[in-house]
Amino acid sequence: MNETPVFFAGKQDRLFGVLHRPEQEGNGQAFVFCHPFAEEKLWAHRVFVNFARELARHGYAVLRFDYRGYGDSDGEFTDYTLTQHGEDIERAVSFLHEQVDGIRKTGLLGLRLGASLAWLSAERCGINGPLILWDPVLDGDEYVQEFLRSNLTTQLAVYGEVRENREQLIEKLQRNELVNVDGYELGREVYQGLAAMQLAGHDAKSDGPALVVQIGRTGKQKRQPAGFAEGIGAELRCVVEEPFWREIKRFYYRADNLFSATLDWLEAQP
Amino acid sequence: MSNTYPVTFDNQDGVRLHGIMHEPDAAIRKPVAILLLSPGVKMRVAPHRLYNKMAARLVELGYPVFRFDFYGLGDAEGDVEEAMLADLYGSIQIGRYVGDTRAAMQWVSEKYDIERFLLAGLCGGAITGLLTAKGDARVEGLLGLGIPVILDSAKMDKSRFLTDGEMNSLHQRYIRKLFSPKYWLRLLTFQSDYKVIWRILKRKLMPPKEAPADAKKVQGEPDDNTNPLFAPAFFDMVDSGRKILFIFSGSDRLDWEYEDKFVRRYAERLKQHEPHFKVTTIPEANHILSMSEWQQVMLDQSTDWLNRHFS
Repeated sequence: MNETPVFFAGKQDRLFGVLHRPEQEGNGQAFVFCHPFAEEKLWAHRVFVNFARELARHGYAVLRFDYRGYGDSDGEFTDYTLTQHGEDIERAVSFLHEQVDGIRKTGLLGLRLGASLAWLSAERCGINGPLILWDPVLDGDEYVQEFLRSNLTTQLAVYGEVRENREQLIEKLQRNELVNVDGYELGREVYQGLAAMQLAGHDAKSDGPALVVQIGRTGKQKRQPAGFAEGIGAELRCVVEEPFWREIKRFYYRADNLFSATLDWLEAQP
Repeated sequence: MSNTYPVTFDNQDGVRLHGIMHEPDAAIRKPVAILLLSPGVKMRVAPHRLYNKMAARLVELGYPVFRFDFYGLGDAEGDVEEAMLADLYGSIQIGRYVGDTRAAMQWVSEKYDIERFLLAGLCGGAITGLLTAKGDARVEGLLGLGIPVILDSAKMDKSRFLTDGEMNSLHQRYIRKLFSPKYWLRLLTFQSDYKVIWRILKRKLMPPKEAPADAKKVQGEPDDNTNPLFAPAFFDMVDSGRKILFIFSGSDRLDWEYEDKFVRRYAERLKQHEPHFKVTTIPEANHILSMSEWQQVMLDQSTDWLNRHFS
């Protein structure tokens, strides 16, 4: 394996990433991986690592990296907005091009909120390769409400009661106070950015080929991802996997159905 | 100015591991390094980047700090064969990553000419530190957050090994839930843990009588899920005057398990070693110390302990 951990993008506000170079001769294509939100990033980490290795075996260069305030990158979670994470993706794409010669096509691969950010950033990053969206978050408001529920669960476990209900938490956020969810201090700007994020109903087409993967415990197609995929001209595939971005009983270090569906689709691209 | 940089090194089997080194300002650098050992599967940053926050505090105090990924986890090479998280945790509790920790100590030792170490970690990282310290005099202290004294396994019926503390807590929780329609829905749709509910009810309705020792054993099943490696490793450290700080969280079952399965059994022996170890509990805190005020208490207590023993 040819993998290099590295800090990049300047002396301040550094980003941390791991660059996977193709194991044999490169195919001229590269991906930047966009990780999910908060603790979902850590639960899904090993799946990301192993898919990056899979792509490197198939001749792709891959850069996995942490947004500012995440992982080993500089800064605190609470100080950065979704827009800034989009800028981080742009910086990661530039860094990848500086490091690897002969890249003809660059794609983005994202999981959950990372998939949403990848979609929203693709045009600005000049992406001309495949866009792979694993279980994208389409309704940001629904997602952030679910995220806040975890705070209520913690209150129940710790105090035996809910001392601040969801409405009170939202009021705190609107007053610019922080709300702690599983150790992540959610601030007003990120809350508002998430609440306003609506990808469903988007009809802007992607420049390159795009794949939306719906991940579920059954392969039954859902209406929202199907509508989104159709709207952006992407192919939709439904794969059976457990939600490995959450704490589940299984240790998910690979997601074989997801990997093969994605690789099959990539191989079918011209 | 402190300096942070990525590190790659090999473990004893030649598997490539990655980590982040936090190097303090040379003017205040201490001759003791701290290794932050990864908890469970949450790699070198730990839940909600707890280890980044710890590293920032510790490097300010002048300690070189190294946090890295164990094989098969984080960014490391290698694979983990266990399919279930509980089995992976169980393997960590019997020393799966002791070799990786020694390899990390070796790297720090060669790079900085340091032969004195403190090991620190949350949960699986804490027990890895304790097991590494056994018989290795280079480890002068252990900072263990929420250290487990039991062995996890996916096949184990956890309801058989509930401590009094857990039973009391669960009993209170179930009483409160009686007024919740959601709870009744879970109960009536077979989503509740009936084994646990039955054990709590049985304990209230039929208080346990002292049974003859032989009658307690059930053929083919363990009669205790305590980690047999815990006590020997603990006493190996304190017998040789090395220092231990355990910090538990008040809402965490690991706190009750430590009391029931270790302190009660070794009360007399522990009294003889009181100068060498300290145990504190942060009231109400959860296992991952998610609230910033709990983290602050943990960091302050850790700093006091370090200043007392290693300044």
